[in-house]
Amino acid sequence: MAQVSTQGQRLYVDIQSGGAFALNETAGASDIAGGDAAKFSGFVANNVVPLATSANKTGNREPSLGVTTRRKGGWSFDADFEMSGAAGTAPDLVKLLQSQFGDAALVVPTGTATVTSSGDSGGKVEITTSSAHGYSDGDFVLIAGHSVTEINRLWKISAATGSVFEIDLDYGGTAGSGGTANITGVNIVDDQDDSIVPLELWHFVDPATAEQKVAVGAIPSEVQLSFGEDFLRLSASGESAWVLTSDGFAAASTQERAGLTAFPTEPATPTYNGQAVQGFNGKCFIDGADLGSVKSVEVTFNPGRDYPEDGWNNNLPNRVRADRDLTSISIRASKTDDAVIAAMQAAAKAKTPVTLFVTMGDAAGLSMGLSILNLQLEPGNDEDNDPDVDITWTAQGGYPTTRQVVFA
Amino acid sequence: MTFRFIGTFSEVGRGAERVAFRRFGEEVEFDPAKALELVRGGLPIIPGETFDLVGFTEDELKRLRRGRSAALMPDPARPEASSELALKLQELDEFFVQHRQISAADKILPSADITGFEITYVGESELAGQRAEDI
Repeated sequence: MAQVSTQGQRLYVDIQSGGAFALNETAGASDIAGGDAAKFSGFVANNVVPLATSANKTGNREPSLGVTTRRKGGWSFDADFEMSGAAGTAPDLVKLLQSQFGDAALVVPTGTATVTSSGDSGGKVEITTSSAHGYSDGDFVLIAGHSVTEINRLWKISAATGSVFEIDLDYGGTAGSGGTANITGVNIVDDQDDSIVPLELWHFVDPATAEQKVAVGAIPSEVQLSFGEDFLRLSASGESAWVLTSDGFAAASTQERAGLTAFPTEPATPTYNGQAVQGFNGKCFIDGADLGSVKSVEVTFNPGRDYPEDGWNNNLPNRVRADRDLTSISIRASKTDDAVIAAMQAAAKAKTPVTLFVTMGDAAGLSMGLSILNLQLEPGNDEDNDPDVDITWTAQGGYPTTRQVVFA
Repeated sequence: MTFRFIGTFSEVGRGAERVAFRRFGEEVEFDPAKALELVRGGLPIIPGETFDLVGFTEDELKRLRRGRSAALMPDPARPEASSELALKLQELDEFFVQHRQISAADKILPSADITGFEITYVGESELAGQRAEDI
């Protein structure tokens, strides 16, 4: 008897191109590949097979024997988020975000420029390039190799025209020179349509003779990004149409097999790229103002998708349902007399929508930007965390929330 | 065929067959078709000849092995060095993005003539007869 290893586990994530009830396959053989591998710190996928027990009275105190009722799968996942390590290349876990947003990750075409100088521009920094850069306001631009190191990171730019653009850095220092600006990145923009992008989540464990699993048609019901800890954290959970297992394959129904004629063996060459990045090497901006005393930011997406338990003639689900797509955030900062904190409190009182921009990392292949528009803050709550006084805001996004994630 | 690793950290395979890449510029030998498959899986490698076009110096490669961020920190003794290196990295990244696009599965026909990354589209594709690098 060989015990299942906690470390000898591998996860493969792919988008089910044929919908929620069909695994990707060719002539019944799964096309799961080594390139779909992604590192994780925790993953479970289990079937939920409820027992329906009649409430009818039997004349004694024991219930009647129950019957099986509608069933489906559930899954949860968490990981220290790893950037790809290579410019313009999506992280291994990007498909999870694609599924959450319902939109494809697009590689922004190369758009590079040589930076000639930087200079203070009234609370912002103006960047000048050697020739017309072709960027637009709101583009995410990575600056590298500039003499002022604070500028070397991913920015959401403004006032873009000709060979200049601005970044939201209240630097006020000496002018800088040199380096590059690059718009190339992997970009996911949530256009808030009703697209449902189901995943297949393959979980292989050692030994290979133990039960192997795939969550068929996995859809996230909650995805959370946590900034501010040692590592940038990603967690997600949701439902699936079913969890197909190697041990249960022979007895599985046609729908449970989801198009396969055999449970596949694990790909021989899982490929992992990149490394976990610090969760605190970044900046947080509210309406373009640097929240310099930020301690943590948590962003939670609730796409509102599930498998309703209302189908007839089948215990398994027959459709995916899309309800309200909610975005909420929580921001904790050390309380200071910075103007941005007063501005956030004023916005919370008036319910004026604000924009959140978080930029993490400081090099190509290791940078991420997250932008969320139209967040309505609740007034910040003070906490006496001796010797600090912290303040925590929560907020909910309203339409159009326009969420965008860029990996540069 | 010789390829160069241009990422920060990657692993391929499992168990005793696992290979880890940790050093920027590390040389690795792959069959071209295998390399193409791995690039599709996200492995950041480019052909050695392409890598050489960028012209990294030994000192720059040594610095890059500490990570891009550290390598690009301004050197007070030679302030233009970080800008020069950033330009080289930008050129390298453009090459890699190009190679990634070339290796995109939906652009390559099963009968494509694969020699390294110089792929000529064949068959019924509207791209037939064109070199991938020209598209």
